[in-house]
Amino acid sequence: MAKTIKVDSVNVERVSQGDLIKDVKFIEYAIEKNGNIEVSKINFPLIIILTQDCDLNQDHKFRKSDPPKSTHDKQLMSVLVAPIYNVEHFYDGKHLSEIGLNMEPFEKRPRKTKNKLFIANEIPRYHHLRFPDDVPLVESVIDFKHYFSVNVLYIEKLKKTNFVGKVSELYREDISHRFSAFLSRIGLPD
Amino acid sequence: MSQDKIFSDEYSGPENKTAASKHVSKHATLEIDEKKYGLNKPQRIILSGKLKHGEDN
Repeated sequence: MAKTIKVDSVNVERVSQGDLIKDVKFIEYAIEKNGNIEVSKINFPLIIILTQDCDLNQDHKFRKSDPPKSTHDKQLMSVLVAPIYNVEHFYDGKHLSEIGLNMEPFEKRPRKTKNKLFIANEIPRYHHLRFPDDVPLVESVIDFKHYFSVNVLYIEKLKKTNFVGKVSELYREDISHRFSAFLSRIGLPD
Repeated sequence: MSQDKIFSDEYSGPENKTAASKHVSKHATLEIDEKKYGLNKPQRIILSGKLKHGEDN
């Protein structure tokens, strides 16, 4: 049985690690050629903030400082996030079908070892999420391989209207720890 | 222009009338009806347009 995480609903001004924000746009590319411009972006229905909370806090303090700080030393260039997918779409491998990407179907049968490992968060790439009943979120999965970055001020402004909740501290630390372990893994030859 | 101004509520768009953003047209837009978050899949939106040059160019 999957563990249920805890989610805080209080929305504060600054972006925090563990924030869940809906409808976040990721700019795939912006290209200009011969006077023609094309911008491609992907709308992710739900993301989680992964950047370290102390970095986000310092960035916010430096940006909002009055009088302004003498340097911009602690300001961030971007905020790291990861998409969250509906686990039912994920099991089918169709969670990115609308953007033309087919993923490998994942073992859905709960008695199978691979599914048990997934639900127990023992597969490094994925983090399974089950939310409490009072949180309007379906059972989901974070795919750490799909992390991307967004503009700091963009996400701060978006949070005012699109904040869904914040994964509470213990659970967000678990996610952060697993994400860093995934990123720092060492690929060995087959 | 600073990013603070671009992302502020008061920002109404590029001051230069020749800027491309004045002339973009949306090929695809999405209206996502959500009753429960996370039910939808990621979607791609492509904006495109042509740069129009003003008299001063």
